[in-house]
Amino acid sequence: MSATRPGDPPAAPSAAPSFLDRASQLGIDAVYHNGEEAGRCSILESLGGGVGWFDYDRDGWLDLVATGGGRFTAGPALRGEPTTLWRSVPGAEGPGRRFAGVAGVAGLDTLPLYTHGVAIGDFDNDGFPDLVVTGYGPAQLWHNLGDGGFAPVSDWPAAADPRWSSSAGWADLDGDGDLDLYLARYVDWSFEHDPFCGRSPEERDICPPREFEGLPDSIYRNEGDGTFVEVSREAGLRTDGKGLGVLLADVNLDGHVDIYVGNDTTDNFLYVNRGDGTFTEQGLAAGVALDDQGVPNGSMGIDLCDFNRDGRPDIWVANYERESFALYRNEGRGQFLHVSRRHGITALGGLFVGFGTACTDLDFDGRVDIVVANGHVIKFPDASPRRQLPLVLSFDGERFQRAAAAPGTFFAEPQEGRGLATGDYDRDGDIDLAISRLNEPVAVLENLMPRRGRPVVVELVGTRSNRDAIGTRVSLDAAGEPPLETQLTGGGSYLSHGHRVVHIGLPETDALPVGTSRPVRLVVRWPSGTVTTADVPTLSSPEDLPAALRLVEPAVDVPPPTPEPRS
Amino acid sequence: MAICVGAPVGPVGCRPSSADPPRLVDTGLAAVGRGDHATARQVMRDLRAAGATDASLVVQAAILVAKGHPIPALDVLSQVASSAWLDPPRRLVAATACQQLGRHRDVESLLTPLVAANPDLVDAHRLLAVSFYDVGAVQEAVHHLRETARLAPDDPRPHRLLGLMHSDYELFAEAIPCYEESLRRNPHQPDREEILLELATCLIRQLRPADALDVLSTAAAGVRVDLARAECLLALGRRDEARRLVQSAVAAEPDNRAALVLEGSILLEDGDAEAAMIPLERAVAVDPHDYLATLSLARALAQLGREDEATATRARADEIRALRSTFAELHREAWERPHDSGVRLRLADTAARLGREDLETVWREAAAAVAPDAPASTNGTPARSQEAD
Repeated sequence: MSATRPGDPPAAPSAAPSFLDRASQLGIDAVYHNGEEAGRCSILESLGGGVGWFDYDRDGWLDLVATGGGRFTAGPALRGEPTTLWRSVPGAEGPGRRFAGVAGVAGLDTLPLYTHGVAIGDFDNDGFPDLVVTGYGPAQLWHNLGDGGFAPVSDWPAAADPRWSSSAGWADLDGDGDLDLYLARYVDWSFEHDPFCGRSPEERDICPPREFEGLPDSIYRNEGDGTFVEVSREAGLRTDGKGLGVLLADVNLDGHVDIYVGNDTTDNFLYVNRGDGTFTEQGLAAGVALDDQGVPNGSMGIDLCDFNRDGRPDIWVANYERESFALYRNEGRGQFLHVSRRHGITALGGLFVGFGTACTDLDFDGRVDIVVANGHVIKFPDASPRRQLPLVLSFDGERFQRAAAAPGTFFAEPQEGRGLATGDYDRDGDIDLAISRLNEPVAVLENLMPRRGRPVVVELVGTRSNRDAIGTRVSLDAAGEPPLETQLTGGGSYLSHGHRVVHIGLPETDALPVGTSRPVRLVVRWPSGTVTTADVPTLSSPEDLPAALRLVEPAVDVPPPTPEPRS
Repeated sequence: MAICVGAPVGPVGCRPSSADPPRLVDTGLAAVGRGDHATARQVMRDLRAAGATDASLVVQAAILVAKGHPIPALDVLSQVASSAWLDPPRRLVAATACQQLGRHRDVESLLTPLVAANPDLVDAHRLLAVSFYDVGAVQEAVHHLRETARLAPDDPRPHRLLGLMHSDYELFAEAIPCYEESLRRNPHQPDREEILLELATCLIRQLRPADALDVLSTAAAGVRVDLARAECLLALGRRDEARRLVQSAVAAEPDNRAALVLEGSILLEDGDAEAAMIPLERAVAVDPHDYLATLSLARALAQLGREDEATATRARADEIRALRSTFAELHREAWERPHDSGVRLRLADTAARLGREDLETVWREAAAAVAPDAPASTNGTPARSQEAD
């Protein structure tokens, strides 16, 4: 018998995903420690860490933040390993870049916490992105001071809440122009509630989530003055989830940001925004709570994309082994359908344990690709190994096909992957990746895939809307093709934060001929309701690096802006 | 639930040729096991002629059990005086009678000391396994099945039952090697087709459609096999082939719930909710307790904008789901509490609410079998008052 095992190459490879791990070359030496060397086998060790791409110093180059996890000490107790911050700086020689560890300078290493995830958002709209770090203990909010330093915010409600948090996401949930925070929580593990699981004392293993009660998630409303208020109950949150992944996006295109939560073995939640920051949980009714057999999955990573270019955003979820990764096709009317079988996802088999993920166009062919970081959570798995191959799935218009990795590249080697973040760290126009792994260095993956089109990169700056423009929808209209819809989302992936720019691939057939002015137009729908348009500029030569458009939301009654190339 | 109840078997014998009572008893019981009652009756006569009246009664009881008369059998056994050499066969025959009567506690009390003293007594392990399985005491059943499998290396039944038990609890990964071992032990067994289908179903649930397809390629054609094959093909993206199989299954069996649900789900995936309504409504009409059919119908209604009907149908699906969840939880409780009749009665009640009269009967019998007012015998043979149950 044969199986599509996480260590096996795909049977019918499509285009090879070529990503090379440049972390050590770039000077990045970040390791997530889960403390497993203590032999406790607690569920705490299974979650892993996250990574985030952001330009914290606004020098135009992406920097990287990575959580450090923690270790078990006598007592028993936990000792947090520091979160690390890696600043992009000019290389010693030539035009290249390298990264310098600056967590100490920035002050991020001052508060101990057994950490998991990061969520980045400019909560005070000052242009400098701020940072939330989740973990076992009070989640941390770090205010970016704009001078290269961060200061912990000690008086926000989560600072006094020790419950275990996993993923988080920023978005303007109440439409008041600033970012609110959704914080997912996992289960009630503690040193006092640490049951034995495993086949024998010699094979103690990580307990499954069903051994624990779920913890309620939280919404922290931004009061606009640097303070936050927890409004979870007023917002209508359920209290029975086991949250691992969070996505904040306008899934029903009504102009308000909704919330999708991936829970581990319990129903996933879809909180539909009533328009005022309160929500109706509609997961079951909308068809995104369960799989196609009506069963809840162990959901981890999440993303949003319009894979079939019908103008409606679809939801992608990376799940546990023996479950299919879930592709929920948006059918309109607030309805989704699980179409993993229809579009080739189930053909992958059920042996992957998927975590960090992104649904984006990696080679600019105009079609969505999906990348997933995989790795098992238990020590003695029966069906599939702890180390698993990461995946790239390419959509051919009908089905997703697993792409074969070029030998020697990152995707050809099994990993214990967890958090995954997208970002163009080398500013060559394509999407690079960072992946957090258990007890191994964070991988920083340069995208070397052959380009099949031209990238269009759009940076959005909100004015009336939140400055990060989370919730903005961008539609690219290339003559003759269905519009390609994309959206700046909050949260997404797993424990991680991808750089918030719009990346769209214009395939060869659509790409602008050099020197011509064939119209390719962007329609931008800002969260404030403002709609603007912008034309994508032509290239002066085929070798041109794509210019990133920087679009600033106009104030009231101001004509739409002219696109300005980023310097 | 019992699928491998077998009368105790011993060495193959035909016309008894020895006057040695222990050997004669073995011979007689073996004859009963083969259905050769004439030989068994001759053994009875030989035993009486040899003065071994008690041994003759044991063989007589075995014949009665084999003919489906457990109460008279127990009556006969109650006349047997205690004796060391006759105790094992007497207990085995009595336990078989009790098993037929659904008196699990008696089976357990008769055979547990027996296997403690004779760990290699395969028939006792087999009977205990079936009895424990019938009352939902899974851990104990698994133990005795494994012992049975060890002691009878060519017997395919223990592993098949292990596979079924694991499947019942949705432990498909654990079920698969059990079915594979069962098939390996005797590929020509009469239950082979069923086992192939059960194995393929587990592989499908494990998202191993290619492997399931391999298994099904050796199975005889039929609607159930075709539907399993269609599921595999769908998962592998061979939609046209799958569609043809499902359509022919529905044509052959218009009320086949599984076929109707599969047809409906294909149509939903193809974006044709209107067409999906037809098979899904039919599926729910065929089995109003079917969770997936009801949920799929709710999805189709919602996509058609029939909100009120969708909401009501979804509520019904939720209700069924909650019952299924309760049922699964009670299964686990039954697993952990092998002598709790209360949990078994709740299982029976829940099965009834799920429209599963077959399982309701099973669990009511299991509850009665472990009920505290049916105390186990202590002397090796159930008391006469119990026999009249």
